[in-house]
Amino acid sequence: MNTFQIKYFDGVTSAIQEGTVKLSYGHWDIRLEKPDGTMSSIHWQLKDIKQTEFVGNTNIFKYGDFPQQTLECNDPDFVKALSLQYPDYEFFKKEYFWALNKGTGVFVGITVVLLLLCVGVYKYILPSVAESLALTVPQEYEIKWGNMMFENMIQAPKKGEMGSELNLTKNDTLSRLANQFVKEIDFKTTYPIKITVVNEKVVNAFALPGGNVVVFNGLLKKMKTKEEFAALLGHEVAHVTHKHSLKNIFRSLSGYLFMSLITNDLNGITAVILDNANKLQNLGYSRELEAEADESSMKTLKENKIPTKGLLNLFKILEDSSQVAPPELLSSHPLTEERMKFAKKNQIMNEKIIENPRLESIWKEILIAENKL
Amino acid sequence: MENEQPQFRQFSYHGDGTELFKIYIVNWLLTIVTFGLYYPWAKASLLKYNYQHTKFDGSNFTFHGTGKEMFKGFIKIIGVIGVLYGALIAAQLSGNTTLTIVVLLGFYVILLLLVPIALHGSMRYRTSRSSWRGIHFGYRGDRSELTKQFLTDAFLTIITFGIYGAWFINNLRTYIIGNIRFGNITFQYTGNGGDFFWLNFKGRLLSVLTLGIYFFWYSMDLFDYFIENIYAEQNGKPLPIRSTAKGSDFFLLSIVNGLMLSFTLGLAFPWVQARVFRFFMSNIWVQGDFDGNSLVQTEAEYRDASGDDMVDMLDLNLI
Repeated sequence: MNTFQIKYFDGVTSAIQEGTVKLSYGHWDIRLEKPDGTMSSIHWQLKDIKQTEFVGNTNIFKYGDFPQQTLECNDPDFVKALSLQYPDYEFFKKEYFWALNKGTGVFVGITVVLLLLCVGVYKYILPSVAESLALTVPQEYEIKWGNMMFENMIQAPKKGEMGSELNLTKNDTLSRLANQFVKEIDFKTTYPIKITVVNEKVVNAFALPGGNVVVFNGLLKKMKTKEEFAALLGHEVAHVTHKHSLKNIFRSLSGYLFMSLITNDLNGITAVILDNANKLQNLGYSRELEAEADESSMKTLKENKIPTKGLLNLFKILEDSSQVAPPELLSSHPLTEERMKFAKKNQIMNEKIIENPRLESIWKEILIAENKL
Repeated sequence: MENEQPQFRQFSYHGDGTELFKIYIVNWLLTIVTFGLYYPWAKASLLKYNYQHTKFDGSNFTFHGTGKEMFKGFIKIIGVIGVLYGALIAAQLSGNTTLTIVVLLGFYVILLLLVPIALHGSMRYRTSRSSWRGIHFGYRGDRSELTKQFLTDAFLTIITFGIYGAWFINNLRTYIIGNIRFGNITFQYTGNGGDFFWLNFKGRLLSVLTLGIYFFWYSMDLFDYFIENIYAEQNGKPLPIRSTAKGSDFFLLSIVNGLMLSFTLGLAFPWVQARVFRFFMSNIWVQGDFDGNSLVQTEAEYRDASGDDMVDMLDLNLI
């Protein structure tokens, strides 16, 4: 049997028209019963039968241009008849994702593989791409941008916003002395390094892209020797020289873009680009970046003939204060056993120190300013 | 058979969580593999499924939009947003404060202007690509009229610190719904800002006082208010639309949905979505002497999906 009961909509009115369809060579013959009992007949050319859908147990076919005609058939044998009558003609679009046709096992397998692939891209490929992109940013832009961030932080410390825990007020005397101190050390950097000491009890310090280094007075107060300060500066300047902030920003932005792409949350990107700009200085560095900065700091100490035990002592200060201070303040410097080990291992015993009297006298002035002498 | 109960006709949703789950997984995988470019097709397949499984008076709806149409719009909108952000970032990098402020202001003004334009485009596209028994919906609103009304109301909302927002939303609904056609059926929205304002005031106040429990009843009040103020008319015969959604039902639905989501770490989302659709659809009724066989095709075709993509990307949820 090649004739089936159907419902038909002509696209002109919403009236349901009952009738039959007969599958003929190259076309369908549709016969409809009019309300007055007469019959009408319509031909659907095979090539113009456009869209096929399957809802519940109803097969739906559309025909022609806007407004389309529609044919619905509930007969379970209709599909079989179609494939017998038109073996070369694909009425039912193949499932557009072939894995869905291959059974649950294959589908689940492919899902898992793709998921792992995503994790791989996110964890390993994306960061290195982002970092190499960061390296292409010209130094002058980096300096300009870093200065802008710096001015924002010092000038507009609004509560609850960018500087909620960084309500930064500059200490002019200590900043001046720290900048004199920094000039006595050769960091082998092309960036204009500028130190700002801020009146904060927090034991921390951070570097912005382009050369600004902010040292919290809470940390400076705990230092007893100039080599501790030199080690800290060596570490922070290394963050600047190796463009760590920029790499971090690119990393987190690209990570976010990736996440929002795969979760279809495109509108979220808009919010985050604006939002992220505010949080940049609160981002922690990865372990590798911290290690790189530590190595650099050690190198600076050695090259400037400053006692290398400074780095280890610096870590001890940070570790002691991490036991009392809220841990998130140290998030930019996660102290690990490894970093202590590194400092201990690379510390040179009985090293040859060439004292720089200028460095020593500036350090004394800092101690006086801190009321420690 | 369908003419047995002429007084009330109900909407219903017949989608199934398992089928939705398959659609979501495939969409998600292809979106990842194509770095997001598959998004318009993903959206189309989901809309198609949901329309097909929504029925009224025995017949299902059809979504005629295609991924290709929406992709074209998507690319256009990405371009526009890209240029806007490019200008913003360039201004910021220049370090010139005046320039940055000017560009930032321009950025927000353009964004605000784009909202009504996107809404207009979205309404035209969505309605034109939706049909029932072969009859397409349509939107006859005028873009500049909508833009004018939108900007005036947005301005009033800003200077009244948001109080005018209730009137803003109502005016928008009145304009948009009043311009929707479904064949020879016209629509009207009869809500007013004052009622809507007090509804929200009461809802928010009680939600806070009851530590959020009233929120479910508040949500249903909003739903009822929206639905019951839509008034359709066919050949001069009124077809009021009624809602039977109850706060207590919505409360139970949400509790179970919340449990389903938390116990499956979100994997139950498609099932939850099907439950939500089923709940809302089964609570919408059309009253009056609706003649499902006498609708006449009246609206022209409209295929530009840019506005719809823009609305999607800006995450607008104004109506």
